[in-house]
Amino acid sequence: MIFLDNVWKRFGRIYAVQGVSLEVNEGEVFGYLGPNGAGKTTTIRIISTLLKPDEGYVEVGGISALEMPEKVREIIGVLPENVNLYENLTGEENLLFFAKVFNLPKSVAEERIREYLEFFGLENRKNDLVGKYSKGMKKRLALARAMLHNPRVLLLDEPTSGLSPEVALEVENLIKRLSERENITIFLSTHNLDLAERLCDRIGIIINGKLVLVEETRKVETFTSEVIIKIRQKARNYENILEKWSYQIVENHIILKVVNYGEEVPKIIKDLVQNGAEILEVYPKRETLWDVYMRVIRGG
Amino acid sequence: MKMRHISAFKQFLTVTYFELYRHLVRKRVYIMTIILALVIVLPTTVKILLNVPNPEDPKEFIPGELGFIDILIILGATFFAGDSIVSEYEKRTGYVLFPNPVKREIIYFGKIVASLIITTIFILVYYVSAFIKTIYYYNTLPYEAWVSLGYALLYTLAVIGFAYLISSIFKGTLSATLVTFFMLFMIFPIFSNILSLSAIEPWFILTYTADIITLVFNPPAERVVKMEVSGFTFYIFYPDFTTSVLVMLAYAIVTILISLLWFKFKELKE
Repeated sequence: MIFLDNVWKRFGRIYAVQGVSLEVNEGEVFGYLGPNGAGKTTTIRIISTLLKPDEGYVEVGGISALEMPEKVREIIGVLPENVNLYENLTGEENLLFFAKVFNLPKSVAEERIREYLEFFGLENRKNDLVGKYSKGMKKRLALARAMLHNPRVLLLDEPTSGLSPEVALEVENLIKRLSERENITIFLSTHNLDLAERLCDRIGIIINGKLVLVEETRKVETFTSEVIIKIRQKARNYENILEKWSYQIVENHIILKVVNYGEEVPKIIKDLVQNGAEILEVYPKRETLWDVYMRVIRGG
Repeated sequence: MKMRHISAFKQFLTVTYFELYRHLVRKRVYIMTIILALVIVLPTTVKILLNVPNPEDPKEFIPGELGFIDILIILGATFFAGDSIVSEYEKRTGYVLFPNPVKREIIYFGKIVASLIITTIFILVYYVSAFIKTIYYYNTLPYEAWVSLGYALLYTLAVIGFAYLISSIFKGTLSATLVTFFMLFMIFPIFSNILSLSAIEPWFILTYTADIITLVFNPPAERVVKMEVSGFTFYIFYPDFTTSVLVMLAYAIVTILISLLWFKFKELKE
């Protein structure tokens, strides 16, 4: 549904996007992660046709974003990071303006506006000026606006940034409901790793304009080569038992690096128990999205 | 995939309608209304209070009634055009507007037509008031009044085109609005006066051409008047009608064209 091939974008002497190639499938929720200034927003602006890449090819829904940007805009809905709707219009008037820009027939526009105002919980405030809305309400209204024309692709740039935790959760739930209700492709940029973990089918990590990792979210959490042994009582001469392995002891946890889990761990456990250790729990260490992200951005 | 047909003309009407609506709900429209009321009521009130008789010829009466026309046009352009383009970038509404299937040209023309409509409404009210007063006092309206209105509308187009040029190039709404106002209200007239003192006719200065709006009622016999005061020679120039119309047209076409292209290719980078 979204296809980027060797996309480059430079601002002055700074390369914001460097050779990004990526494919996002129909109906997929794709999380685009990276630190501030990594190139997430620039990538979204390129996909949404706001910026032209210096090099490379971009396609959305099978349409070239470079040759037919207007056609691409018909099938995308965009939620920018800083939501700025027309503050001297009411919530309903804002939606009506954008519905008319899409030439939606009056009856369809009215029906959709009513439906989305209700879906996003703004029905009671529809006649208030947007300038009087809270940040969360503006975000919800902007989501409603992005959905008005039933887009096939939703581009969300930091959808929960700057929101209080409860409002962020509310927006997250709305995105989840949208992805479940409509078979919509969602491209989501964020540095909220928990949000990405909960919402996204796949994630990509971009650093300094380069896409360094693309992986299914469920596969990111992998077993590592480390085992954690939780103990109540240390063994006698445990230093001798563990000397062959690289290990560290943090409070009552022994974190041990093994090569062959199946062979080495039972032997270690046996030796520790025989030397008086009381073992509470043994489990392999998992690498979370957070660990992967930190490892990747530190150049691991 | 089946694409919906999106009519460019309907989009243009939508942008114009909503721009106009947004102008009407801004405080600036109230400020402009108060200024308009003052320039209509005050001169007449002062004349009545001071018992100043009206001239015998309506052609000498109307220019006095239209004395603030160029200021009104400049204020209209400042209030309703000065920040039209730049605000989409500074207030970041462009991030929401531009990724829609609407061409920048349509947004531009929708905006400029809305600016022209709202400014023209104020100009027309001012003219209608002058026309009513003239008919009330003289039972007639010289045909030059309609020519003057035509010049005023052409000048409005040129001034709004100039304001859109500033609005396209500048990065801040406040600076764009102030530069539009001061360029038209001070810099151009000062430059025009300096040139006149140097015996050069400032025919190419936009604000100089505005004089034809009121000069049409009593065209000067000589376009250049030479004056000698205390050994210094001064020149007073009166604009030529044909040249001024062409200059206004040139300003309108060139500024609208450049600002349109600037807007079309200006990227959202922040």
